[in-house]
Amino acid sequence: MKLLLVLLLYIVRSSYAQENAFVGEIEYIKERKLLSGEYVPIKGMEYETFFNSTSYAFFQKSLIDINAQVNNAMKSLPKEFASDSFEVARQREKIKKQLESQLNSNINRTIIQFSNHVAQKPRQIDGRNYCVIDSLPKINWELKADTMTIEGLICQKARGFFIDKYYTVWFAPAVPFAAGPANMHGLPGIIVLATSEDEKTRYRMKTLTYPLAKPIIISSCNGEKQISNFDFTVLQGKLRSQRQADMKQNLEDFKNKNDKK
Amino acid sequence: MIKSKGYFLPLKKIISSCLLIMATAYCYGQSVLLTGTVNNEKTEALANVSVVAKQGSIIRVYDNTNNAGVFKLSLLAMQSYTIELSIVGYNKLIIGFNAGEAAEQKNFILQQKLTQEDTVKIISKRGVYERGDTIFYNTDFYKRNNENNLKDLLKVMPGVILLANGKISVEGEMVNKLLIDGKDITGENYEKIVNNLSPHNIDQIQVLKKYKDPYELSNSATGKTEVAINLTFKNKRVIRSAKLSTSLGIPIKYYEHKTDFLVITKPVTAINFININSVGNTAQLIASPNSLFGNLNTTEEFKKLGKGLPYQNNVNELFLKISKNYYSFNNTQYFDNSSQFNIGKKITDKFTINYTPEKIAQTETGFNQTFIGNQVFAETNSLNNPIINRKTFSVKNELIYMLQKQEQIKWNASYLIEKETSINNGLLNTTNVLFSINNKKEFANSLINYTKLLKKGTVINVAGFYEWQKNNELLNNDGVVYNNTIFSNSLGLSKSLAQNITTTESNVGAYIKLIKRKKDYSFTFQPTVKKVFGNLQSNLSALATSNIFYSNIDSFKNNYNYEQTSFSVPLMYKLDKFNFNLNMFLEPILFNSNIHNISNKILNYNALLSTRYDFKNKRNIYFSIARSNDFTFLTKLFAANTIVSNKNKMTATNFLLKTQYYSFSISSRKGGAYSNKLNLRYSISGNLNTPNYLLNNINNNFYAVQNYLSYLATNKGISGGIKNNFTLNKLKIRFDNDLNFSSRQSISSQNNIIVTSISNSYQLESKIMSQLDGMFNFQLNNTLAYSTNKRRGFNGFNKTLTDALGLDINLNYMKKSHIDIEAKNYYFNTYNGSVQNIFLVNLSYKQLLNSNKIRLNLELRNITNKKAFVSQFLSITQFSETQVALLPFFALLKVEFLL
Repeated sequence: MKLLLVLLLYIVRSSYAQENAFVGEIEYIKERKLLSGEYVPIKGMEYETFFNSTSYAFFQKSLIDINAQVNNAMKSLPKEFASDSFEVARQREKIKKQLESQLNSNINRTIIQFSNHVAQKPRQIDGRNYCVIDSLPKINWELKADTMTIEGLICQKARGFFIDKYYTVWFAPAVPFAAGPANMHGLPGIIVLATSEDEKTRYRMKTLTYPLAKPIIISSCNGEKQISNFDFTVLQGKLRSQRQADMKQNLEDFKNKNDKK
Repeated sequence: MIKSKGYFLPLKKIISSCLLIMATAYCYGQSVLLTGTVNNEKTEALANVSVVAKQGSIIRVYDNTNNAGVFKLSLLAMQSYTIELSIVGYNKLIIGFNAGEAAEQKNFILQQKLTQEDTVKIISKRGVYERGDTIFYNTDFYKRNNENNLKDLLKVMPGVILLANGKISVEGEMVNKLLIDGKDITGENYEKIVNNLSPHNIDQIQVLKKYKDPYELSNSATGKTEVAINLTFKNKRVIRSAKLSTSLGIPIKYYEHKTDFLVITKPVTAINFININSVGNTAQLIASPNSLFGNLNTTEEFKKLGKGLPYQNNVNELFLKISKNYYSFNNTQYFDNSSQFNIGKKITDKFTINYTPEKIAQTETGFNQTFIGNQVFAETNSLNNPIINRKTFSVKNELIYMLQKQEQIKWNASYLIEKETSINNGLLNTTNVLFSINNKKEFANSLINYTKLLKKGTVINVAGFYEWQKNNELLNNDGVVYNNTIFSNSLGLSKSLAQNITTTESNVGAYIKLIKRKKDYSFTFQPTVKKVFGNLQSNLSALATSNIFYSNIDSFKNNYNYEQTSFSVPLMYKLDKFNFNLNMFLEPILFNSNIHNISNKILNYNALLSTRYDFKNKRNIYFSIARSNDFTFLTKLFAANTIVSNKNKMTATNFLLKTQYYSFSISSRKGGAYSNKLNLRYSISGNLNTPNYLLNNINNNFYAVQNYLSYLATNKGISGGIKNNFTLNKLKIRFDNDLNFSSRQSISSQNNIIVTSISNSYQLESKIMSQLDGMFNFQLNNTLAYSTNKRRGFNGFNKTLTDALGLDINLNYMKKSHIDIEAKNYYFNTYNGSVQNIFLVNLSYKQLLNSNKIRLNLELRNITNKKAFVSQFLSITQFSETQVALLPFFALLKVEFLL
């Protein structure tokens, strides 16, 4: 009976949990244009992207840079620790472990499936896990005949409307995966450079590793409650207003106490 | 009908031709659907296969197969395409396809790939980017593969300017240091690296705009930062460097040899500087029977470890001798070795040993004077964490024995051994053994002092009486005060051994600052040891006061915001429960400096309160109160008159008032003996200056004035000075004018005889410097000094007057060959009676050979060396004149080569 139960659990789990093996890695960086015409990186806008032939997953790099996060967290520690080097080291290790465990659970990743244009975002609110499902509009790419070599890759030009503006992108057919920066996807090659037509910002490929020596496994939604993007936003708003109400209540209680005194 | 036929025929033709045209047009514009399935060898449908239709290398249409392996491509009819199918794990399939007029269906079978593809890694590189206070240059972006040295590479980098003297300027700021993988090898003499280092192995050039040398404590204290360049290397790092210098003195033995060798390889980095120096003056006899004055020429060679070339300091001292025959012997030798080892990637150690034995012997008939100095300095240093892992070992031996028969006042003997060890946790463990009898210092007394830190807070201290204080105070122009004080007070009270009771009390204090970046750590340690033998009692108490300073220095160029707070933790250790010990140490320090407000306030307040009561014996009452109040009020107004614009006018006054040290102590003992001690010390100093950084404004002509005045009450001293700088930038001429004066009066008691002394000195120094075309320099120094010295002892009044007048001329010519000419003429006159005239000419010639690889230096010093001594004794009316040429010739051959 126990064996059956275990088997049943395994089947249920495996039906929910989809583990994807990603074979390549791209690092994208978002840059803004200066008046001098030079592009400079926007702080924190770096994306680590892993792709395979069906989907790709991306993380915002500032979120997975553990050391940076640890340093941020250390700043909020009480000053009394600063003089005690052992305590500082202990705290640092503790925070690092916490963050690593969070990272291992792949929180804050976004997985995009090319075929049905769906984005899955495992997210956490108030300690509860949700799987935010968001449908992506299909980008109607207009292929152009221009070619250019970028970082040693022969790239072809394409133009498409994404979110609110047109982007001119250069994709590399030599790496035939539909991956791109952020939600930009659907071309027969990875996107190497994507410049908005107002030329204010651009996404640039910083590194490319393909194929990876060992495929990276990133699981998509792992049995969490599925929720649409709209519902998720509503839920967030509710929680926020709930917190504000609680705080108001606390404040009033405090005032009442003082008045009584 | 025929007509009608005839009528219809052309219509048919027209219609048919129209139809034909339309049909062709339709054929051209018509899309033809190509559908099909993609399967593997097992006829399983393959999903997500990328199917593209290309014309040439341009992708025209693309699609991905669905779960059933079906794809759809909308192609233009009557066109030829190349269809490419690709998916991970399968071989790419490329076939030609001519689209017809009708829709077609094609099925493809992909074969599984047997071999793994090689991983391709593409890393995008950008030329320059800035992060925080560091600029990163990726050298690959700038390399054209025709660079011979680093200089060629730096030339093409934006914002980098190479100056004529080999220095680098980045964004208008001078680069002070060039680091190799974070290591400072050459100090400020980095031209060697710039001119010779091959750029091909360099990966990144990082410009650190706010670099702080971890070894320079003073830099960290004042928050001063430098601009440094750091080079990072690719896999292989090879730098080999050698330097050889040889010197020769004629006709008296003078020998000097220097070797510098530098190797940088990976993974083991070994940087080795070896310097061997032997400077010997053979004993010389000044043969004139009437010679009353001898000249002791002390040559001091300093080698800054790991900082490149040594600099030389010649000190001339005049000694009064009564003897007819006078021998002088001077021998200086040193050996220093500085090695750095980098084994693997993590362990980096620096080991430095410096051995400087000095022997100076003087022999006179009836008198012996001997001085032996012996210094060994060893340091090991882990560069990974230079402050924490610094280990220092230092030994100093000194023996001074001096007897002067006729005056019978000076009877000095001193023996000193110093051992200094700095252990891992950054605390200083000091062991001093010192024996001194009436040292040259005014209030020095005999002392045997042995201090050793055994465990936490446990100290062995054996002391007689010793008082020594060393105070380094640096007040720079930006109003930041740096204090380093080491003091020691020991009081030994002992009863005779017959009563079998010995009591010893000693206090040793050290105020040491260990500075990390942006953090100051200070530690004050005052141990007290009391031992009573006979009653078999053992009382031991130790007071350790630790001050932890935290300071935060934000510097923006020359503007400092400096905050400092401190607190102290008294620690007490006692064996005897009846001993009551209360110690309180308060040191709140407020240091507020803000240059934007043009006013700086410094307030220091120190208080020490100490009480001690022995409950058991009820006979020792000890009460001590000490108060030290430093109050400094500093205002700054800047004076900079820019001649060109006349717009920026500021006036500077600095006034510094300091009062120090009020201490009072009283002790009472059962026997009714009382002792009182009263110390009063204060000093006032005023300062009127213009910060030096204003002088760095090279675009304008400017005039700057610096005045300072200080008054020291302990010895009733006063000193002051005026410094003027005047630069005419267009003419490239700078005038410096220094006027200094100091006066000091002291009263001291020796052998119950009160000795008073008054000494005054005035000095005027003027410099004119000119730089023409960047390669021809001219410098004229003019020194005028006058000093009087009056001393009244038991045997009457003694007066000394000294005049000095000097003239220096320096000429530099600098291009590929570098020529320096230096001429010096100095005239000293001492009224009680000698006159000395020195004239020196030095020449140095440097030539660059063989494209920066070999350079040749030839130095000729003392080409013309004339020293004239005129001696006279006014009381005895003796007159003598002696001319002796010392070290007339000096040749130096220096060859530097890089492999």
